[in-house]
Amino acid sequence: MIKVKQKDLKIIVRDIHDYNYNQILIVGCGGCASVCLGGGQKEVDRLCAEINLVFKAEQRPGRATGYTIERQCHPLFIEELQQMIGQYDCALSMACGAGCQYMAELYPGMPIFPAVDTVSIGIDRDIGVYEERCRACGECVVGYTGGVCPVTRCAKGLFNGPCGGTNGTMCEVKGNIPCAWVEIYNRLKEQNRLDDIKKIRPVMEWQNQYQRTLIQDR
Amino acid sequence: MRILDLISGPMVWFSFICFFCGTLYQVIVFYTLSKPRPRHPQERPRPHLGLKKEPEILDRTSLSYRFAMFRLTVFGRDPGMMIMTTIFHVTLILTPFVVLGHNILLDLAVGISFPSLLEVATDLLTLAVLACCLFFLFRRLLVPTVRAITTPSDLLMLLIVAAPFLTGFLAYHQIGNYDIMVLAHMASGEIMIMALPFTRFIHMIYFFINRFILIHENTLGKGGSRVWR
Amino acid sequence: MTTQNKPDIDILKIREILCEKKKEVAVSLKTCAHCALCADSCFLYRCRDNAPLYMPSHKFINSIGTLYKKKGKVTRAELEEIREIVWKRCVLCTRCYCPLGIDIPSLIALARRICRSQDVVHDFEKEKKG
Ligand code: SF4
Ligand code: SF4
Repeated sequence: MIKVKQKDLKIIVRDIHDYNYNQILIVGCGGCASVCLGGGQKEVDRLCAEINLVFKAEQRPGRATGYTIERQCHPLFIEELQQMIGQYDCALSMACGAGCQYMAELYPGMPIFPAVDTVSIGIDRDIGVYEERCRACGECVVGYTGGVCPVTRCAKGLFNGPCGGTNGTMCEVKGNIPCAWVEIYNRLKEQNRLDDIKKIRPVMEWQNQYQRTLIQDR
Repeated sequence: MRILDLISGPMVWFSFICFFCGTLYQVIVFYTLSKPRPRHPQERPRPHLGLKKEPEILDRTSLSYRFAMFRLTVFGRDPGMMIMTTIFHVTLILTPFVVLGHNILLDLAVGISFPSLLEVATDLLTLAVLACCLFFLFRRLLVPTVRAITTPSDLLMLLIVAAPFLTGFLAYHQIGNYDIMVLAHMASGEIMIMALPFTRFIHMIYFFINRFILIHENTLGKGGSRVWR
Repeated sequence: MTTQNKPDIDILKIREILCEKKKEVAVSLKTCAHCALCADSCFLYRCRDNAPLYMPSHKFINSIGTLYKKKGKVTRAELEEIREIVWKRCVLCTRCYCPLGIDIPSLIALARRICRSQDVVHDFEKEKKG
């Protein structure tokens, strides 16, 4: 799912300092952000405590309060904030960029700041260890690359690889990451599908360069 | 009195054997039904060179920060319960080992004994266990969340724990019929020991398995090494 | 969503799924000291005015616990109730904290799997939140 990582406390605090906001609402998300240990109730509580400590150290009257909702990307759940949000000067969102923006859209008068950086769409390798697997390019090609995404895992995002600079089995761009195209080759070879690698793929229409809207047929 | 002989003799051994075998059985079952999973090596991205690290805005080693974080743990969120439950579990396990009478019997039987405390002290420990039991009882009956999941078996468990301490206390102070009290004390103690690996008390074993061996977010220590199959 | 005219519950299928994780379920149900310390770690519990219904242990005891105790012999109505619990009262954020280390989300996920095997599922589009 989507992986998020908390911003440096300094940056979060700077955002709210600039305008002297005092009553802060920190909104957590019980969806992806919570699963990746980035913006669930526990992190909300911690951030609250930290911001309150900062306020106390600076002897400001401010106060941060936390509230976690199921998902910040759905109106049904964001509406829950309706009755309380008026009491606050600004809100910090601990959901992914989408959730944060949706909240901003639904509460136009409310300054919303992200308290997390949305990092990737990834898998849970271990508890707290997440690896990126997808960049939402909009046209999935892993069918012919043996289940390895060249956009995410090849440093150059090549659709017809490898680039020729492959360093053994490693990527030439950065020493300690494996070359995605070597892996693609190995997997296709194992499945007797090496023909796939020879086919020239047309260039990608980079759909994720503009805002996309998904309409699912039902 | 045949029943006294039985309870003060073979039953004691039987209950201990039951306890040890039961514990062993549970541990073996856990190991056969779980499998090891190596932790993924965690490679942290190196900080960008050249960028000087600015000082942190909060001193994360300070006492006030640590206290604020501590307040977020289960100890800070429900301090009353956590203090009571800590006292309860420590005294519950400690007290039987430091009672003079137990140690004399142990010495007579197998020739080893644990250091004994003053009788006043063991008296106080016993009262502490009983007080905690009362606290749990009222918590069960009065706190809505706890009441929502309370079953009769929970009350029975509480009774099984409290009984040996209560009867032991009464017997020591010669309240009521001494012979019956001692008999009840031994019998209830044996029931408790036998019940340990097979009833709700199993959390005594599974606390350690769950929190130290199984891998999940809240594993303590090195982060665990096994998962259920 | 009405599920009246559906076929009977396939108890054997439920048992089969339960059997796979029998010991884990049994041990978790037994290990739970019914102490309610997990309540506070569930954000739904806190958002819903500390209602005991939203306490993680209440959820798994009344979902997978019921299934386990009845050895899968549940009626469709009971399964519908379990569906309410495991979909409406839990979002599987996987963050509940039990001091005894019970993995509550995996138990709730198992209950969801059993419900799905019987076609008792939650329709996110049609239903309002719990
Ligand atoms: S904290 Fe753990 S042991 Fe206590 S009620 Fe919740 S699940 Fe059960
Ligand atoms: S996984 Fe379910 S029960 Fe556990 S904290 Fe999340 S919503 Fe609550």
